[in-house]
Formats: sequence, C-alpha cells, structure tokens
Amino acid sequence: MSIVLIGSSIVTAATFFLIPTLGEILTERSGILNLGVEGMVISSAAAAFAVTYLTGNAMIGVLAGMAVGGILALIHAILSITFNRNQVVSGISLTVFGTGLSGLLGRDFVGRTIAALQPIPILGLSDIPFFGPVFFNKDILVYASFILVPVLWFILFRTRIGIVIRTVGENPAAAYTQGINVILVRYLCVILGGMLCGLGGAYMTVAWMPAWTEGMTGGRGWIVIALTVVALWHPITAFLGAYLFGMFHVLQFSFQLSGIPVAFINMLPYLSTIAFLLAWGILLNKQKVKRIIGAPSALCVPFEKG
Amino acid sequence: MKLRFIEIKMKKRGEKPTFMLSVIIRLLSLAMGLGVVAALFLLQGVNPLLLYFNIFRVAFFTQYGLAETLSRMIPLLCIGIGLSVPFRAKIDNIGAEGQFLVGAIAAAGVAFSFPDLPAVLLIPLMFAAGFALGALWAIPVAIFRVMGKFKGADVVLSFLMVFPAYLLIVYLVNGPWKDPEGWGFTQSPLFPVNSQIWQLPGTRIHLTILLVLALTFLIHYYLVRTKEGIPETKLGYEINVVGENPEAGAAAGINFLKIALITMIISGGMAGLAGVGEVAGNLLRLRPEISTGLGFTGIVVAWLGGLNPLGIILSSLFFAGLLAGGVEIQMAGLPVTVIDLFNGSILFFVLLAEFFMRFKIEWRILK
Amino acid sequence: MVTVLKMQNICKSFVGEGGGEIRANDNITFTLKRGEVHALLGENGAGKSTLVMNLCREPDSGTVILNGEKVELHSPRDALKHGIGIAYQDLSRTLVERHTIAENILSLATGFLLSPSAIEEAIREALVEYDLGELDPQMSIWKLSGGEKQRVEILKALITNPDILILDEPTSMQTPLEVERLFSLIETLKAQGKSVVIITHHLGEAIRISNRITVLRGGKVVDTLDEVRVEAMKKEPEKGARELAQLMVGREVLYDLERKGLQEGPIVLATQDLRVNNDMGVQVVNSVSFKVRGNQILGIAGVAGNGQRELVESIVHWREATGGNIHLHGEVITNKPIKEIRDRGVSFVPENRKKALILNMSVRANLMISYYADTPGLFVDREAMIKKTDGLIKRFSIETPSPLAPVRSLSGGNRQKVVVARELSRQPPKGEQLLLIAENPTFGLDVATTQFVRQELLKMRTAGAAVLLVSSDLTEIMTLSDMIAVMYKGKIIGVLDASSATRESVGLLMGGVVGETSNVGEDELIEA
Repeated sequence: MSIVLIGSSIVTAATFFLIPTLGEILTERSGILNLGVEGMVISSAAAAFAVTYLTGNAMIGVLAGMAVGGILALIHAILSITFNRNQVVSGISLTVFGTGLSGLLGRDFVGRTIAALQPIPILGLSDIPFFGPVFFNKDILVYASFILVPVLWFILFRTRIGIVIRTVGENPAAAYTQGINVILVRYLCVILGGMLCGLGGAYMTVAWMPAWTEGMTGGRGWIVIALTVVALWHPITAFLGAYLFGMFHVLQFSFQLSGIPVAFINMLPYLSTIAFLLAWGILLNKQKVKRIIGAPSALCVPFEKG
Repeated sequence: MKLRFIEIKMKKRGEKPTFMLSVIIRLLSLAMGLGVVAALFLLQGVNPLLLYFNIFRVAFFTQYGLAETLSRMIPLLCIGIGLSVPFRAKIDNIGAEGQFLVGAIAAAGVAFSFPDLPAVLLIPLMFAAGFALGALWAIPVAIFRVMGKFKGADVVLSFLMVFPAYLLIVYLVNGPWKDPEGWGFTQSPLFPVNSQIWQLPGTRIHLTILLVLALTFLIHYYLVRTKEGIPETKLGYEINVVGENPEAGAAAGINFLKIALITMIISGGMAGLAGVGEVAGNLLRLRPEISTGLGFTGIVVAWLGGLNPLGIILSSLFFAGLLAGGVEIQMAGLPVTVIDLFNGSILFFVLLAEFFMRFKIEWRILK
Repeated sequence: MVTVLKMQNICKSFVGEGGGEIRANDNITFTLKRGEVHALLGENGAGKSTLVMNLCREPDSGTVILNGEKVELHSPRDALKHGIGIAYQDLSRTLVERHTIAENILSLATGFLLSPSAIEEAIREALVEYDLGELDPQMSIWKLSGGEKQRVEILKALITNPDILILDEPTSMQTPLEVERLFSLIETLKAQGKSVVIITHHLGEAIRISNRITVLRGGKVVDTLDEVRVEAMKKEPEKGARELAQLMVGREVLYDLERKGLQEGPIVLATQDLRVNNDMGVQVVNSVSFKVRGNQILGIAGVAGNGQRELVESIVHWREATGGNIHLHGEVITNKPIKEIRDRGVSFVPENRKKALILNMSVRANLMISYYADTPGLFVDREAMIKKTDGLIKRFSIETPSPLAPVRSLSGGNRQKVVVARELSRQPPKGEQLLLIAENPTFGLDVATTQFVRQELLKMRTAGAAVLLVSSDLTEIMTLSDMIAVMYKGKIIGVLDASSATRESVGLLMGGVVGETSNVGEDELIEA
C-alpha cells in the first residue's frame, strides 16, 4: 500500500470515529451518559443507505440517518431525563433496539449498491504533496467533520450556550437556580448528540463503504464511548484520539502479510481501546487531576428540582 | 405538571408495590414492548398478530418447537441467572457474551487436550475450566467498576472484552483447532465422544439443564430468598445492601471490591458454563458464531424476570420461545436481528415499569 | 413604607419519603417593606429556607403578592424576572467547583458569544461597587475558602440587580471581617431602597442588622417584631437575644439532663497532628490533636464547615487521613479498613443519614448491618438476628408497623432512632471501652426524640464509653460535654472544661476570637 493510500484510509476511518464522538461529548457534557451509540450508528447507517438507494440522493440519505439518530436519542432522553431511569440500562436497551431496527430498515437492501459520495478536491489545497490527497480530496462529510471540531469547541467554551451546557453537566442545580431550563438543555444535547451519531452512521454507508450488511459497525460504537473518555470530553483531543484510533484500524490491514494471525491483528483496535481506558482510569482517579479534568461531575446523576 | 384541563402529579410510593401489582406492571411492560415491535412490523407490511401467533404456536405447541425452546432455554437461563447476581448489587455486566465465548473455548480446549478421559471426569473438567475462564474474563470488569471513577467505563470495558474472545475463536478454528474435513468452514472438528454431553434422544435438550436448574435453585435459596426479612447467607445480605445503597454498605464496612469480585465471578462463571453446555451439548463443534447474541438477550432475560430466579425462569422460557419460533420470523421475510428489536423494546418498557413501581400517578380534572 | 412583597397563608409540606407528611410551612404570612432588612429567625428545621424557596416554586397553597400584584412564581427563572435575587445556603447545589468564579455567574454571560475578559471586568467592577473585598474572577471555586464561596454566591445574587435580595445563612462560614463588610453592604442597599431578607440563626446578627424580625418555629410564625421592638433590642442586645431565644425555642425548654460526676476512664481515642482533606482535596483539618477518655463526653463545638465532618469521618476511615496518627486504645488505626476499625469497638452516628440508612430496606435489615457478621462462617444466624433486632426496636421504642417495614416509611425521628439503636448497642471487644462518635445526632429531630437521644448518650457515658460529640448546636454541647473543644478553620483553637465554660466563652471561640477564656491549653490535651 502506498503511504498516501494508508493516510487516506486513516482519515476515512477516523472520520467515522470522530463525528459520533463529538456527539457523545456534547451529550455527556450536559450530564447524560448515552451508551446507545452503537445502536444509533447502525440504525442510521441502514436508514441512510436505504433512503439513498430509494431517492438516489446521498444528501437526503444523510439527513434520514441524522433523523433516525435523533429519534433514537429522544427515546433515551425521555427515559433518562423525564423518567430518571438508570442511564446505563437505558443506553444498553438503545444499543440492542438499534441493532434490531437496523436489520428491519435494511432488510430489502442487502447486496444493493449505491453511488457513494464523491470526493471534492479543494482547489489549491488538494495539490499539496501527501497532505493534499490525504486530507483535501475527500467527500463533503469529511470536511464537515473538520469544521465540526472547532465549531463544537467554540460552542462549548466560547458561547453562552456552552457555559450553560457545561454548568448543567457539572451541577444542574446551580444552573437551575440561575434560571436555566435544565431539562430542555439536556434534551437538546442528547438529541443533537444522537443526530451526530446518525451523521457518523450515514457516513459509513453513504461515503465509506457504500453497501449494507447486517452488523457492519462491528462494535465501533463502543469504541466511540471509550474515545470520549480518552479525549477527556474535549473536541480537540477527540480529533487527535479519533485519528489515533483510525490509525489502529487501518494498521491492522497493513500487518496482514506479516505472518501474525489475522484474528490477533483484528484485536488491535479493541485491545488498544482497553489499554487506553485502563490507563485513563488510573489517571482520572488521582484527586489532583480530578478537580481540574474528568467526567462532568453530574454525569449519570439524575436531576430533581427543589 | 398542569395542562389546561388536567393536573398530573407523580408521587413516590411509600411501600413497595405488592407482588401482584409488580407482576401486572411487568406483564404490561412486556405487552407494550411487543406492541411497539408490532407497530414496526406493520410498517414493514408484516401482520404482527399472525406472526406472534405463529411464533407462539411453533415454540410451545409443536413437539419439535417445544424441544427447541427448552434447548434454547438452557444457555439463556444460565446466563440470565448469573447476570442477576451482579445486577442485584448494581454492577453492570454486559460482557456475558464474551464470557460465554471463552467458556466455549475452555470446553473445546479441555476436550481436545484430553479426548481419552472417561466422560465422568472429562465433562466436569470442562465445566470447571469453562467456569474458571468465564470468571477470569469478568474479573477486570469488577476491578474497573470499583476503581474506575468514570461512570459507564466498566460497561464499555465489559463490552469491549467480547471482541477479543470472539476473535480468539476465529483464530483457533482457523489455526490450531481447524477442522481438517471442514471444506473451508471455519469450525473445529467434532468434539470427542467422551466430551459430548448426553442429549434427550431425538432432541437437543442436553443434561446441562439439570446443572442449570440446580444452580438456579442454589442462587435462589442462598442469595435471594429471605425469611423474616433475612437471607440465608452473609453474601446474600451484603449484595442486597450494596445494591440498595453502596455508600451505606461501605460505611458499615462492607468491602465493595469483594462483593463486585464475587458477583462478577458468579456471573462470568455461569456465562462460561452456558458456553460449555452450548458447544458440548448442543453444537458439538466450536465456531465463531456459536452465540448469536445470547449474552445480550440474557441481560433482557434478567431484567424482565425482575432479577428474581423464578421470574428469570419464566422470562428465559419466553425468550427461548422467541428464538425457537425465530424460524417463523424468517419465513415472514424478516432478518434474524429483529430478535434484538424485541429485546431492546421490552427492556425499554421494563425500565419504564420500574418507574411506576416507585411512583404512582395521580390526576384530577381542573375546572 | 410600602409593602413590596407579601406572602399570604403559605402552606408547604413535604412527603417524608414515605407517607409521613412534614408541614414545613403551616399557614405563614410574611411581609417585606421597601428599604427594610427583615430577618427570618428560627432553629434548624423551623421552615425559614422553605418559606423563601416558595418564591421560586409553587407552594401547596397561599398567594404571593409582589408590588400589589398577585404573581405565580414557578421557578428560579420567574423569581429572577420579578427582581428577586437569592443567595442560597447550600453552596454545593449552586456553585460549580471546577469552574472559575467568572464561569459561575451565568447572568453575566449575555448574548451569544462569551467574552471572558468582559465578564471578569464586570466582576471586578461589581466587587468594588459592592465593596465585597478581593476575589480573583479567574480562580476556580474549589480553591476558595467557605467564606469566599459565600461571597461569590452573594455576588451572584447582587449582580442581577434585584429589588428584593434574599440571603440564606450568608455568614455561616465568613470571618468577622467579611461579616462586617457584608453588613455595611446591606446598609448601602437599604439606603438605595432595596429590601433584604436575611435568614439566620445567629441572634446577635439578626438584632444588629434588621429592622424587623420574624421568628418561626415548627413551620409557624411565632411572632413578628416590629421596628419599635427591634430598635429597643438594639439598645440592649443581650436582653434582646434572650428574648429571641425564648421565642425560637418556645416554652418547652428542655429540662435539665442528669449528669453524674464520674471518674475519668482510660484514654480510648487520641489523635496526633491529624490532617484531612475535603472532597476537593483541600486540607480542612490542620494538625488536630486531642484525646477522649472512657466515661467522658468530649464535645467539639464550631460553626458547621470548619472541618468537623472531615475530622470524624477520618477517624472511622470514611475518608483518608493525609497525615498524623489516630490511636485507639493505644494502637494506631489510621486508615485501617472500616470493618477493622468498627470491630475494635468504634460506633458512629453520622449526620449524613444517607450513608447510615438504607431507606428501601427493612428496619430489621438496617439494624442488622452492625451485627450480621458477628458469627463466623458464611451464614447469617437468623434466630439471633431476629432476637437482636426485635430487642432493639423494643428497647429504643422505634415506632414501626413491623420489623419488616422499610425504613423509608418511618418518620425522621424514628429513622434516627434506628441509627442510634444500632450504633449504641454494639459491644466493644472484651475489657475495652466503646468509642462512640456522634455527629450532630439530633439535627432536625423533634423535641422528644432529641431528649431521648441525648439521654442515651449520657447513658453510654455512664456505662464507660468514650463519646466524641460533634455538634453545631451550642446548647447540645453545653448540656452534654465534660470537655469542650472548639474547632475553627480546621484547628482546635481552644479547649475548655465544661464546668467553667460559658456560652459566651465558647461562642467567642467559635467566632475565631482567642482570648484568655480557654482555661485548659491545647498542650494539656496533646500530652499523652
């Protein structure tokens, strides 16, 4: 494989990790843990594929994917925010439900093909050696992910909405006593987060590998949740983390001729995720670290008024 | 909440709901879960009532179907009962799938290593190995649950542990344990005769069912059942305390790590046993796709059964029937994954039902 | 003067997590005039905070009239809109520890974009304008002292420029200097025609700062003292304080508890240079040394939040001691496992009842938690446990329909009796004395239960136990203790013999004023 090709596939794989991770960061920053990423991603992947196949327009497919992601996230929001249910179990239900739903949505489309989103070279930038073809000769969703990172960072840390979201995630009562509608903020964050997961799912079937097979996400949704932890709930580090994980993903294919059994190489993304989680688990346990960075303090804690 | 004509209030219940009420609420949640799936089926142009009826008929009222249901029930019950133990202590284990798979690996490993041992020695040895490896796969989750401060990290970890287990099987059946007569199928050779668990002739109900029922009884008797409000064992009491209020448990000197380890060893071990039973009693070969999500269905089985052994027997029977009747689902032109649709949807409503067990809704019409 | 706020016939009850209703506000009428400072006075649980909270949630019944108009205030948002600013008491629910001061004041973040420098500038200006002293807007909340946090909370309320300012226990953690500043600020606001409600249980402060005083007891208004009477009190503050105290406590003054003179027993607990951090990793117990003997009650007095909680929690290892040593019967138990410490004969009645009780479990299961492991082996001795728990329910007359009823269904007093029954009946190892740690054991209890708990503590003392009593209730400290240690800002700043201590001498120490009042120095205590 040429180095450009490797680089290019890393960007492709990383984009798939990056978009849902940004969504999960938004969700968790508001204090809600949504473990249903896998379910939202795979359902929206199926939906996006189906709609693209039926309409012939990939962008409508992408919108459909985002809609499915948002609707599934809404279920989680209702259970965990309105009814104060266990967010862990609710998220697991969402994953299982989404997996089932994807089968239903995609059942008539197995083995069909669609025209994938075409790369749009960016004038001037795509001619730069190596970086041009790797980063700037991509489809529109990859560019969207480039833009989403600073946008999310900006919203979270440089706007009023951002400080409100972070306050809700750190101490919802503090936000409430200052006149903030905690429930509304959490609903919006969870739904928007779900839509970003939907975008990630859509990217998979509309741009990355334009075909639908059952279970094609293969647990990558769970890596997204781990990635959110590894990125310390920050969009910029999420970008770095996604590219690192994208690299693990692509590297498994370049090891294939090395003589190491394929199954072991395929374990690489999962084992590296586990290793990161363990390391971060130890790191975040330190008190001095904890008071500066770490999970939003109200993550997974239900909010009751009064 | 005040709407124009009606005021709705949610009030905490003082007492626990009566047994009857909790059964009714659970059955209602089951019905609503099935209802949502039915609606989705309607959208796909499948008649849900007919389909449900057919599943039910095949699974419980045909001889073949009933045998198949009971056979499917063995791993589901085993996993579900095992999961209920950490769930009662509020420890989330969603990695039963992985623990099931390594249990199967252990069984195959022992069977292929000592094919000449007599069955009375070999089969117990396989179960022991399956329990041990399943438990080993679960221990990191327990440690992470106690040590890791990020909520949900243990859940993610327990899930991620599934993939190495799966890929390990892929490696084994492509490498050391590849079936020489497999014609390209990724599977192991047939298990040695001495390692095959006796089946009821003409069915796939294997003797593991007795082991599973015995374990169910033991867990019920020693950990769950209370008399005069007191469980039989200290462990049972500690699990209840930790599950209801971990802080109070820690304050009274109960070591949460100890409880997490013991419950996860029971849970992982039992998932491992289920794996042994499934490959040595049912499939008789090791294949990567031996599980098809039994570990996840087990989660729903445990919750729908109210984490209570008796309830879990019934809910495992229900889901086993759903799996056995799955033929009908495919006949209706639906993919197998729709089983997950049932799982997810029912789990949603079980979760919602829990809300109505703690709260009651009062409403009055405004003038 | 014009009435700006009138709260009429306010009723608010809470469902005491299981049937039992607590009438926190029972038909209260309260008025606030323009340009006045109105103090709400009452003991813990009298319903002061509940009353003002009705300005940001719906009461069960009653009306709120603001500037002559009936209003419905459903949320803090409505309160803000109507020009009501509240500085809340429970800072853990209103401040974000990880954020900076600037990030905590959301009302300054206006518009879509956030300009940190503009917000910081606004805070600096406000600090000068209101003369609230130095605060660095870029400082994270967790680095601040209790008093500084309270100033941030007050600033937060002020910055919305409210017509009505409500201060809920604003001085509990402030230094005397900070209190002076706050009071002059309140005077300024008054002069500007704003109205201030100040909630406090500090009698002297109430007399000094307010124009009118409303005293609450048991959810009802006992009396509202008009300007004339308060003015009279200002002339004779001591007499006024006594009068107010009587109104607050009511006629049912606690009868004296019988305390026999006892020979001091052996040293049971001794700490040496103990240092402990709070939840945010800030050291709040600074080298504390003391000892408690058998047959002795050592009372630790102090305003809440001066490190008392962290101190006692470190003894039972609910939290880590970061330095120093804890000796029990002469052996080091610092940071040993909780179970080991308890098994050596340490009982703990914590203030945090969430950690002491499992509400969803039965009374029996809650009582068992200290005894189920007494027998060796894997099994619970069911017969013994039934006998034990039934005996405790009877001896401590816990009112419960059945031993199997969940603790959730019990009243607050009976819930505390469950904890007390369990902790006071534990047996120390043979030949040794029990160490009993009681942290605000009567907080929020009715008079009868309070009396009961105090008597039980004295019985323990007579039986030979060493009792470490932490209480922010001075009366409790004075009536029960043999020795009184006063904690201030993480240090024991004075130790007094109860026979010679007066309310004033202890009160002064609680305020951080060290005079010649301490007749027993710290040295005496440290020396083993």
